[in-house]
Amino acid sequence: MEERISYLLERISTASDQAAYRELYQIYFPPLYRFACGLTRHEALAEEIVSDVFINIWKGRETLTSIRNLRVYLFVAVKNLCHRSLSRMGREAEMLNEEMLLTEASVDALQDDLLVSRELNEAFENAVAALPERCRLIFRLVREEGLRYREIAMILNISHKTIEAQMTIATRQILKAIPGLKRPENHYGRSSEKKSSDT
Amino acid sequence: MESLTFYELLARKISGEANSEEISMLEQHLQLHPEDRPIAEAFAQLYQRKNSSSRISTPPVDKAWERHLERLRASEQDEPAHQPSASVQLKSAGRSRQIWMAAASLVFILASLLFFQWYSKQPLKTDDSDEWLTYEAGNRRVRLTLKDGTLVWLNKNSRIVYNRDFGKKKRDLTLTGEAFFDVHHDPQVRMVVHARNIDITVKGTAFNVMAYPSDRTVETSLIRGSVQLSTQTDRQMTILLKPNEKISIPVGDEPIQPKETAKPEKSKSVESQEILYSIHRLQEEQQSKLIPEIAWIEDRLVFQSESFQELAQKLARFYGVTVEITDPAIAGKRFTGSFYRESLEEALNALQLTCNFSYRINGNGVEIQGPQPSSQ
Repeated sequence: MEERISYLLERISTASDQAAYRELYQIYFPPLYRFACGLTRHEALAEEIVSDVFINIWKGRETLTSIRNLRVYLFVAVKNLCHRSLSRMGREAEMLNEEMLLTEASVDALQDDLLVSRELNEAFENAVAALPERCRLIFRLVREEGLRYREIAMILNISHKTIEAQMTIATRQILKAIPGLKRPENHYGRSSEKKSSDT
Repeated sequence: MESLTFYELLARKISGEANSEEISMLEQHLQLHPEDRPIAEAFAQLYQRKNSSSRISTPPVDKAWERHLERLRASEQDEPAHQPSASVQLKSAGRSRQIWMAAASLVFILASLLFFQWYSKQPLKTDDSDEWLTYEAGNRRVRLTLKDGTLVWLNKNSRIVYNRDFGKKKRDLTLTGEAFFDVHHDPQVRMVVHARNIDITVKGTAFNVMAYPSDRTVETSLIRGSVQLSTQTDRQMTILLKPNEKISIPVGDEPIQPKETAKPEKSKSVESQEILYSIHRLQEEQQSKLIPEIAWIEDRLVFQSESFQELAQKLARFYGVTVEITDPAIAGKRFTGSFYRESLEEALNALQLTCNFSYRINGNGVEIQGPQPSSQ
């Protein structure tokens, strides 16, 4: 994948290869769109922002190969544009109602699984959705976009430690929210008490 | 403390950030606490199921690409000096079909824009054309808050265009489709809503405007406050609407619809120049206590003694489908009721309880037919 990306960048940069440009867009549109949606809560705006980032990629294609980590670069560019357009739109964007603007993906695509039932899956997704905003954003970037902690640290301009902490919080919250996966309160204390009373 | 470590280790493990030392630490923990093992395994498995996970659905990439290409080409036309070779290279890249399609859609978009500009008879000010913001609802109902605090509920397939500094010196908004406005009161800055060839001037009020391009009338329903209407063809003629009144004004050359004369007992028709309009009292539907005209903002479809023909159009808009009634006897049947979060099929089944008809759903099309012979 990495190789393919650098090949595409090379083609776009040196030959203005439109097919390569299109392939690059197709690879990065879904994750960048989801990221922009998460930040702006606004589907049409999110698509425009991703489009703007790619317009800049095309316009600045001569210098494209100097970008070291394209993935981080694209996420940062999307984040910056999101912040800019949000501050421009001001209150208006904040007030946009989340549930109305983000359409829920259908769960029909789920196949039955011996270990992971549909209910568990839904409970998991609901638990993710219920995470605090920043925590959810980080968790989704790790899980859905496969970004490394250090990449997210660069994109969101936060420390590696913060990401670790947020991921731990996410893990704990999600497990607590799923009835079947909940660990008993005072788990260890209680089991040792039992043992001592038995003996 | 120990349980925190378990979550920490688990988080690193599943995200692929754990080093070999941390992985063996987790393994140690699981050997000491075997009851945690199924939890860890199920969590890891759920974490991996990410294809179904994304609650944000992405639009088809191909469609997004086409729209992107249009925007790219438009941006290159904006600043030709910046990258003079770019559009030429795009054209010569051998993807003539895509380019052709993109160009065709661009022409279409420009044409619709021009048509829209002409249609709404909005003075096209070239000097501040970037001062206009557009919001399109697409296939959903949205609630927006404009900069001045005015709330706008925008129905499906509807669009508003408004000035960027909405509220400061000017509150100018053009509506295509249907919207409910709860206007922030500001005696200094009046708000003008343009809907097709009707201008609605308000200061602080709540009202609904239905102005779909396919309709022959613009309907304005006033809930509170007051609004003043004028037509762009005759600005001298103004109509003041009182609360709980609905006015239907025909637009275009079409004569007034029979719909308006259907409830003659409560409407007064006024003839002035060539404009014929009618005013009705808004009435709550008895059961739901909702005013049918504005029920849509609560995701409800309310109808009071409406013919199937009229209801069919409401169903079509509400569910984003086309509805065709093939049996004229059925089309005249009248219905009263309300739907809330019912699916299209559930809604049709409910209607079947009071009227004997059959229907067929084909994708986005619904066909309403007479009673099926077998069911008689």
